[in-house]
Amino acid sequence: MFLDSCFLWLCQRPSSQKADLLKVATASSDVTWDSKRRLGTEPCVPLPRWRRLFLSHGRRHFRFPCSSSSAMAAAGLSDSKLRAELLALGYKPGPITDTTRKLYAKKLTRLRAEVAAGLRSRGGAGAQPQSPSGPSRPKARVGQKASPQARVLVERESQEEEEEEEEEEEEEEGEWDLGNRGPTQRNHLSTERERTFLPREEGRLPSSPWDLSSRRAPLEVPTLRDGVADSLASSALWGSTVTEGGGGGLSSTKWWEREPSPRTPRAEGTRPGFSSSSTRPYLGTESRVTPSSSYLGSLTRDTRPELNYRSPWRAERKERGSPLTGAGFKQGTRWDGTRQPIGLKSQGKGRKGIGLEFYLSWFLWLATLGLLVTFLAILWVKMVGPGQLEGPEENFKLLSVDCAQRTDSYCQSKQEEIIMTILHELYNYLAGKAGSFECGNPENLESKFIPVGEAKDYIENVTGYSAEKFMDALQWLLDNNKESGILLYSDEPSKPVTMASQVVSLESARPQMSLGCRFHRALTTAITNLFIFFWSLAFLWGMLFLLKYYWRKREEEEMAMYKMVQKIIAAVQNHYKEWEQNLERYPYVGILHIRDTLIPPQDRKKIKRIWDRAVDFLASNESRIQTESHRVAGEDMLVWRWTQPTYLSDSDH
Amino acid sequence: MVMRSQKCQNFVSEPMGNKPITAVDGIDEELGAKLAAKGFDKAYILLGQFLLLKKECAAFQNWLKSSFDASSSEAEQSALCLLEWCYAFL
Repeated sequence: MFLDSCFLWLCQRPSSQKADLLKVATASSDVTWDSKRRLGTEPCVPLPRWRRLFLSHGRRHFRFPCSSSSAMAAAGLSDSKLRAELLALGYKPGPITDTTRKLYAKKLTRLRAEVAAGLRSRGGAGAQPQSPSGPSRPKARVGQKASPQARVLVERESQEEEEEEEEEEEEEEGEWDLGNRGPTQRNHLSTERERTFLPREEGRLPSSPWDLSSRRAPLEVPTLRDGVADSLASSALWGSTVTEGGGGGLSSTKWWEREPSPRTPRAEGTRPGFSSSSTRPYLGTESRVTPSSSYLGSLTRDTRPELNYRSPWRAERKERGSPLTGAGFKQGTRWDGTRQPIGLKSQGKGRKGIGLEFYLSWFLWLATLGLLVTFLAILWVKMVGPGQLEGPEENFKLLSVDCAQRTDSYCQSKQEEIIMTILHELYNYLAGKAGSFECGNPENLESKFIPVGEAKDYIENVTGYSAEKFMDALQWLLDNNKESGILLYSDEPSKPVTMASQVVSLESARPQMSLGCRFHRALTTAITNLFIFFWSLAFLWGMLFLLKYYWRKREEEEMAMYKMVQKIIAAVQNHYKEWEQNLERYPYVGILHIRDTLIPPQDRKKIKRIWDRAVDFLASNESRIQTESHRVAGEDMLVWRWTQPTYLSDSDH
Repeated sequence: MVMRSQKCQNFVSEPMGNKPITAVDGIDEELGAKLAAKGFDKAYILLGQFLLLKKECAAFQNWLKSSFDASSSEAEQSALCLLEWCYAFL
């Protein structure tokens, strides 16, 4: 039988070709179940993958003759089978009832597609480096099989189901033009395959808790089939004779060119990742998923169990995966580019301000510290000074007295003692008086100068010595001319006093003051000395605070401005998008309209400055928004127009 | 009238949370296993079915009996238990 011999010949083909050829063959009605079966268990088959495919299904329910797409197949399953399938894929379904059956069928389809896509891309990545000849494939397979991860096996099995399903599809597509065989027909088949895949994807797109990945994943199946499988096939066996792999790739490209249907751009998003050269013309029309991202995304997702270099991509995948819908996604990615310069700019300005601020405040701190130290030093000197100067007074008591008038040593020493006592008392008295005069003058003294008579009376009262002794003591003081702490004044201040009789008044050079008084005096002295310094420092501090406040204000304003700019850009772009979807009449939007949309009325006056700055910024620094003058509703108006096409602005690059 | 058993009282006394299907009164291990095989492994899933049937005890009992070969008393007990739970918590 011709067909049976055909199957035998098929045994030597790689699986992808076999699938293609088989689908033609099986589509014809006279293929017997036996021949299929024989093909499945044929010992000559060099591809365990191929055999395994059949065996695994022989073990379970064999759905080969089922002639429907995988979605239909999933829908047609009985409840228990559906449950079993879902469980096999690692998903734990709830009860399958009339209301939930459809959902689970969909879920099953999706899971299968995902798993298949996962294995595909992993298989593709693994297969490319190794030689694509037939015999090497089983080896690779064994290696993979040997990996201990149970999950991989599960996935692989389910992927085989998926493959089988695809082949079912192909098989039924084969019916379209039966009889044609060979490379030309293959081209047609591949296009057919693509076509049947697409509507399925279309149907699946809107239903969504199901992520980008599931949407992206099935899309790769056809491309991979053509790309990897065909290239493998062609280089392995057909390489020299027929350029079928190339033909397949070409034909698909041609098909895209031939039929620029509205849904093609979406699918093309996944193509460039694999063969960018053949699909480069379509990069421009790619609408949602960037080429590299889809490839990376699928690769990272799919290589989960085996590859361990996926981690750097994972973040990207997350970032890309989470903001799936609408403006969030667009804005997030679109602003990645522009946000950075903004941040840098404001940071730079801030740094300049911060540098100045830093040095100024540093200087001010130092100056303040210096001031404080000086102040304390002055205070210390002023307070402790008199105490230190008491020393000479002590010494004074021990001064040796020059006793010239008397020869009698006793008398001399007696005389000396008397004088010393008088002087000591005088000193104390004068110091006390002067101190009290300095410190608020509680006794209402007219001056620090104490008249001689008063002092004489005091000394007479205290010591009991006569006035002559006092005068002697004064004379002695004058004669010795010692720095005793007692100043003597005559009538004429200019002339130095030489005679005790000339002395009119006395004054203490070292007023004796209480601690509080001393402190008070030191403080006033210090403050008056450091007055200018202190005030200049205070002024600088004030300046610093003002500058800080100003800088902060400016920074806040800048941030608000940039935020406003972002809002404006988002608004204008959204407007443009809505216009693209025919939701708006004009592609441009009035500047004032944007303002009124973005800013609530009560704030318009308050943030007018920010708004103006944002508008200026947009005018000078935003190339994607163009300012034009248009007549809107009978009124001349400045408008903004988004100049960049949406598909460009969506891409990350 | 079926008396409220201890199991039923326990079940109705608190939110069902994540209790297994066998926590529902009238559902023993055997029936529970049957139900779990069909995906009804938690009490709240059974409650879902009960609610889907509009809290009609008769319909629920019929469903239990026809789909899982539950006995009349089992079906009645579980329906009553769920109904009481609904009174208490819905």
